[in-house]
Amino acid sequence: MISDTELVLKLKGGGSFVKLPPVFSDSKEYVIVAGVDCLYSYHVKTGKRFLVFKDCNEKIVGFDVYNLEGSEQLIACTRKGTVICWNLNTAVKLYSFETCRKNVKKFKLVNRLYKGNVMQKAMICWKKDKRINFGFLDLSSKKFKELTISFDIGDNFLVDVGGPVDNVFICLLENNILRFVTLNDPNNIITKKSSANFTYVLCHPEYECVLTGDEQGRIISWLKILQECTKTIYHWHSLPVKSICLSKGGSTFYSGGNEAVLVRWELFEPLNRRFLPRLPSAIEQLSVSEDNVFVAISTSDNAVKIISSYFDNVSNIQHLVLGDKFPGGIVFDPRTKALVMNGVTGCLQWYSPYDMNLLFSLDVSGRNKVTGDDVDKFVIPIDIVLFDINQLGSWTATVEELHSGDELSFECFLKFWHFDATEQKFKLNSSIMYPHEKKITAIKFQPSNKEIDIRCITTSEDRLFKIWQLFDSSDMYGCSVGWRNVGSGFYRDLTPSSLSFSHDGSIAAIPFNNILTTWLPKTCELKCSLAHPIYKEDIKQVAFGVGSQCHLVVAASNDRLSVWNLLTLSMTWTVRLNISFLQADFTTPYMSVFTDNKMFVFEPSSPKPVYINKEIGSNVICSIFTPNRYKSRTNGKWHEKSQIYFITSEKQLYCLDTNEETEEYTQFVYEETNNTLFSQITPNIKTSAMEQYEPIVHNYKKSSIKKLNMLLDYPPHTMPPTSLLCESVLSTMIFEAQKQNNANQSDSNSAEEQGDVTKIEIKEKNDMDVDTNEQLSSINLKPAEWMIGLL
Amino acid sequence: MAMQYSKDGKYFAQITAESRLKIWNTSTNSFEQEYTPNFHLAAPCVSLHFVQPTATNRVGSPKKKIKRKTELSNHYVCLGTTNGLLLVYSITKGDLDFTINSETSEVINCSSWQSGTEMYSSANQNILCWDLENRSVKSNWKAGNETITAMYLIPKKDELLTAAKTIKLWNINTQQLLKTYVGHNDNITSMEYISTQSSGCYCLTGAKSGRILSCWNLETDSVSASTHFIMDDVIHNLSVSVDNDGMTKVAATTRNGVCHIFRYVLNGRSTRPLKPATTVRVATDNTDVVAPIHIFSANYKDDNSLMIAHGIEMKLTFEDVIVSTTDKLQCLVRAAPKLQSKAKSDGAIGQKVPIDSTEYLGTHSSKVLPKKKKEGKACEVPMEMRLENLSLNKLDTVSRSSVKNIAHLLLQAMHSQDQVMLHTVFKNRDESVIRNAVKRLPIVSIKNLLDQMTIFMRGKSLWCQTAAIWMRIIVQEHAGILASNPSLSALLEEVLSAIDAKLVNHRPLSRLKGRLDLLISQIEKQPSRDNNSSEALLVYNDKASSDSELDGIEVGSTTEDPVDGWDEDTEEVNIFNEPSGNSSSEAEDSDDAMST
Repeated sequence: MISDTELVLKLKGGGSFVKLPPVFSDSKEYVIVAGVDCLYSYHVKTGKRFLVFKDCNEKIVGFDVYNLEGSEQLIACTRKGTVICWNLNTAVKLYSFETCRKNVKKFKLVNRLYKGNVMQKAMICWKKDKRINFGFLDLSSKKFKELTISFDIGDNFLVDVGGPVDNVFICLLENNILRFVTLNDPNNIITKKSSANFTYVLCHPEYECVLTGDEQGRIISWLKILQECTKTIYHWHSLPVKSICLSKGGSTFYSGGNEAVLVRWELFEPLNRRFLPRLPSAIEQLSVSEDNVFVAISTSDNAVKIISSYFDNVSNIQHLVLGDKFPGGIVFDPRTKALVMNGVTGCLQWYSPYDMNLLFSLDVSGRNKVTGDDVDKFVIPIDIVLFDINQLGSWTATVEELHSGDELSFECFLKFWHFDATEQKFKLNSSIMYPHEKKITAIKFQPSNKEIDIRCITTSEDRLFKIWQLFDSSDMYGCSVGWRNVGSGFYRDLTPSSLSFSHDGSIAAIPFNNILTTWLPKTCELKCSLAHPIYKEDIKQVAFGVGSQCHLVVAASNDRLSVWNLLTLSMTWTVRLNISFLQADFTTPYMSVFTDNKMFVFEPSSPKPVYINKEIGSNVICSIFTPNRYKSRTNGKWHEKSQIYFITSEKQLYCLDTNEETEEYTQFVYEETNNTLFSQITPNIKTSAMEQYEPIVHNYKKSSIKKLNMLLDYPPHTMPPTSLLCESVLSTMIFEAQKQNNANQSDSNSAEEQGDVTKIEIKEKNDMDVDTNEQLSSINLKPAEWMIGLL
Repeated sequence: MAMQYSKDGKYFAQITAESRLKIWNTSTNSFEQEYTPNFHLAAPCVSLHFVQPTATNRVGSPKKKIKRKTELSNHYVCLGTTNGLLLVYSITKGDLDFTINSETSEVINCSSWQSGTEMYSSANQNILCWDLENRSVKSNWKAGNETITAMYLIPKKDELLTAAKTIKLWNINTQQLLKTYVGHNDNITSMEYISTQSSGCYCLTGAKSGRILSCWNLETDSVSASTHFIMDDVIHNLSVSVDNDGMTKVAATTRNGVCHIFRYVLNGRSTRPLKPATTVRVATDNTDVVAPIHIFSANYKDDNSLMIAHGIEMKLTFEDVIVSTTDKLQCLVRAAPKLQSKAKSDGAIGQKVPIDSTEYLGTHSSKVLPKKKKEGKACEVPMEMRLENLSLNKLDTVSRSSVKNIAHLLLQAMHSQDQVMLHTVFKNRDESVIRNAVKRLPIVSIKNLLDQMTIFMRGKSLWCQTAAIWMRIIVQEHAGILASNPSLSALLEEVLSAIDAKLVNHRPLSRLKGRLDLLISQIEKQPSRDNNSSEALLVYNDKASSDSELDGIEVGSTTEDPVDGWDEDTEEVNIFNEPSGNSSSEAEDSDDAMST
C-alpha cells in the first residue's frame, strides 16, 4: 500500500464569501471580501481578484481597512484572538498581535472617521464563561486593554460599538432586549425592550444613535438613548432585516433582507426611500465605500455585487454558488471542460475549476423564486435531484423532484436539454411529467460517440428501470428529435438502486437489493443476475471497469466492496469497508472509494489500493474524476491522466494535485450574460486615456462686448479716428467691471445678515473681482502707452 | 490588425482598425473590456502581446518575490505604438498600468515574451529589451538594415528569432547574430516556434503576401527552409501544438476566414509543399443562402484543444472545435452572427435562459402532437370538403358519402401526414362511420393506421379517447389480419405501454372518485336532516290536510286536562297562525262537542 506524499489538497473554490460584510479601501480601488480563513482584494471596477491575504489559519471574525501615516493597512482578527495587519497594496504581513482571548465574537475599529494622528482603536469582544467581555487594542502603541464592563448573555446575541473615540458606546442585543452603555459612564446601563426579536444592530460612528433591525422587518433608530430616547421606525421590509449599513456621512442608510431588494433610507425622513429590486438573491451583507460612491451587496448566491450610489451596476464578483446540498453530485461536462453542480435552487451551474470561474448557470425548473422565511414553510421549491451529461456533451438530462411530505403531492419531471451547436445555446428538448411513479434513484446516458441512437436509463423506487431513446420525430412540418420511453424492465419486484454502463455502452449493470443484474440496453434483455450466497448486503452503487478491465464490475454496499467478473460470472475479490460512496473514472481504469475517514484509489483488477489518503473522507459529499489538462506528463501514476475533485461538507471544492506548481490562475471572474444586442457589442469596461480638451475659459468676460462690436461691425471708413475710439472702448471696459464690483458689494452687504456661510462665499467672490479689477487697471495703463505710440 | 490569445487561452485581445484594444473572455464568450489609448489616432498601437507573470516564474530572494507579486500578478497586455511607447494594460485593473518610453520614436512592430519580466520588441531595425518590473529599457541593439516584422523568443534558451525578409537568430545575452535564414521574398508577418522531442526545433514562418508557410530546421546548418505548407490564401494567424508522439499540429487562419489544419511529423526535408490535412470552415445555414462566417483566429490551448474565434469583428464567438481526423473539409454550421435583437430582460444574473422552442410532453409519453398550424396561414380546404360543398343533393346522401369519404380522406391524411387532415378524420367519433372507414381500408395501410394510433395514444386525453374508439374498431374488424401478423407484439407494444401509462392513475383516481362520491352523498344528506330539525319560520297548515292529524292529539289533551287556562294559551299561540289556528280551534270545539 502506497501512500503518496507528493499529492496535496488544493482549494479550487467554494466556501462562503458572504459571512462578513465587504470593506472598501479608502482609495475606492479595491474591495476586500472575507473567505473562510483568507481575505481577498478585488478591483472594484473589473471585479477581478487582485491579492490574497493569507496567514490567518483560523476563522476571521472581523476585518477593516485603516490609514496609518499615509499607507493603507488591512487589519483582521481571528476567532482565537490573533490580530493580523497587512499592507493593503502588497499583501505583505506587517505584524500580528496575540490578544490571548479565545472565542472572539466581534472586532471593530471605532474611530474610522478620524484620520491623521488621532488614536486608532480596535474593539474586541469575546465570550468567556457565558459572559461577554470587551477590550480595546490601541493600534499605534499595540497595547491591549481589557474593560471592566461585562454582561451575562446567552448564545444568540448581537453587539456593536460606535461613537467617536472620546465617547465610545456599546450596544448589546439579545432576543428583544437592547442594552446600551457608554464607556464614559460604565455603570449606567440602559435597557430597552422591543416587541420583536432583533436581527441586526449597527451603531452610528459619530452620534449617539443605534439602528436595529428585527424579525418583523422593522428598522428602529434609537437616538439619544441616555437622555429622552427618541425612537424612529422605518418599516418597509416584510421579512427579517438581515443587514443595515450607514453611509459615511451617516445621513442615509441601506438595508436588505430575503426580499432581494436593497432599500435606501434617509435617516431623518423615514418615508423618503429608494429601492433596487430584483437582485439575484437574498441580501446577506451591505457595505458603503468611504465617499458613498459605491455600495457592495453580498448576496446569498455567494456573490458580491458592486453598484454605484445611483444604483448602476459596476461589477460582479461571483464565486461558486453554494446550494443547500449537492444532491446530483458533480458531473464533468466534456464540451466546456467544466464541473456541473447544483446551484441556486432549480438551477445547474457550470464551474471551471482551472481558472476558478463560474461560466454560467442553467435555469432548469423555470419557476419563480420563493423568498422569505415565513413563506417557505408552505411552499417547497422543486429542485434538481439528479442529472447527467452524455459523452459528447450535447445532451443533458435533469430530474426535478418535489417532496412535500405526503404521497399525493409528489412531483417529478425528467427533462432532456440539447446543446444547439448552431446557436451555441441550451434548448429544452423534451420535458416528461412523471417519468416514474416514485423517486428516481439513478440516471445515466449510454456512452456513445454518435449523435443519433442515444439512450438513457433511469432507475426508480417504483421497482422499474426505464430506457429512454432519442428518436426522430420529423414530419412535414420540419426536422425534430425527441425522447421517448422504449422499454422498461423489472426484476423480481425488487428496487433498483444504482446503474452503470460498460465503457462501450453495450451492457448496463443494475443492482436489485443484493443481486447484481446486467441488461442489454438495446433490447432490455436480462443477461445475467449475480448474487453471492454469503455476502447479502444490499448493493448501493455499481461501476464498470475501463479498458482491459471492462469485464469487471465493482459493487459497493454499505460495508463491503466487491468485484464481479462478468466473463466467469464470479466474484473475484471482496473487502470489508464502511463505504460512503464509490466514484469511477470514465477514462482511466482507476476508481476511488470514500469511507468514513479515508480515501482509497484502486484498480478493479487488484484488491491492493494504489493510493490511500487519510486526510480526506469523513466530510466528502461528492466527487468526480476529470481528465487532466496537462496530459504531457506521463510516468504511469494514477493521477497523471485524471484528477479527482470533491466537495466537502463545508461546501468547498478541492482537488488532489501534485505538489509542483503548474500555472497559477488566480482569478475569480464572472460576467453577466445579457442577451440584448447592445450588450453583446458593448464592453463591460470601457476606458479611454484620451485627454479631454476643454475649451479655455477666460477669466474675465468682456461685458463691454457691445462697444467692441460697434468698433468691429461698422465699416472703417465711417468711423472716427482710432485714437478717439480707443480710449472710450477701454474705459467702458473698466467702468463695467467697476460697476459690477460695486453691485456685488452692495449685494454682500445685504447678504451679510443671512449667515456665515454665505458671507465667506461672497467674500471669495469679492476677492476675485478685486483681482480682475487690478489686472484691468494695469491693462489700462500699459496699452495706453503703446496706443499712443500707434497713433 | 493585431490579435492574440493569452497563454492560458482565457482571453483574446485584438487591436481594431481605429487602434482600440478589445479584450474578450473566451470561456464565457463575452466582450469584456475596451481601451482607447491616448493619441490613438496620432500614434496608433500596432502590436500587442500578452504577458502573464505566473507563480512559477518567480525566482530569487523572498523579498523580491513579494515585490514581483505585487508588481505583476495577472494578465497584462503590452501594446506597442508607432512612436516607440510601450503601454502595459492590466486586465485585472481594467486600465492602463504603466507606460514605458523607449525614446526611439520608432514603430514597435512586434514583441515576444516567454516568462519572467523581460520582453523583447522590435523598434524599426532595432531590438529592444524591456524590463517590465523596473519599467525601463534594458538594452537596445541594431539588427541589420531591415525593418523587423516578426520575432519569437525561444523558451528556455537565450535565443531570439527576428524576421524581416530574412530570419535572424540572436543570442540575447551577447547580442550576437548566430545565424541567418533566407527564403521569403516578402516581409514575414507571423512566426511560431516548434520544439519536438524527437526531431529537434523548427521555426514556422508566414509572409505578408505568400500563400506558403515555411518551416526551418534550427538545428541543422542549412539556411533554407526544410518544408513548406501551402494554403489557399494569405496567412493571417498561426498556432502550433506538438503531441507527445511528435505529431505537430499547425492551425493557420487565412485572410479569407478559413482555418487550415496541418498534421505532420516534422523530420527532415520535403521538396513538395504539404497540403492541409483538414480545412475548417464555418457557415450559416439558416437562410436560403449558405453564407460563410469568417474565422478570425485559431489557437491551440495548452490542453491540445483547438479554439476558434468566428463571427464578425463586433461580435466574436469562441468555440472549442474537435477537429476531424478523417475529413478533408470540416464545415461547422452556426447561426449567423447577425445580432438578434431579442431583448430579454432577465433579472437573474448570468443565467443562460433557454430559448423556448420546447416540446412539453404529457405523462409517460415522449412525443407531443406537433403544434397546431400557426394562425394566419390560410387553412387549405381539403378536396373532400370542396367536393362536399359542390354536391347539391346533400340531404339524402349525407351519411353514405361521408362514410365513403372518410376512408379516402384517412388514406390521404396518413399518406401526407398533414395534421389538419388527420384531425378532421380522427375527430369523428361516430362508431358506424369509423367502422365503415376501417372496413374499407386496404390491408396494407392498417399498419400505418396503427402507427398513427400510437401517436394519438401518447398524446393528450382528448385524442386518446378518440383513438381508443378507433383502436377498438380496428381490432374488432381486422382481428384476423392482426393475429396473423408475426410482428404484432412489436406493433402493439407502444400502444399498450401508452395505455398502461395512462391507466396508472386510474385506480387511485377511481378510488378518489369513490371517496368523493361517498363524501358528496353524505354532504347531500346532511342538509336534509338539518332541515328536519330546524323549525320553519312560517308554517302553513292547509285546512284539509291538517284536520285528521290534529284530531287525536288535541282530543287527548283536552280530555285529560280540561283546564280553562290552557285553552286560553292555545288561543294565544294560534293568533300567530290565524287562518289555521282559527280553523283548528273551531275544529276542537266541534270535536269537543262531538266527544261530549
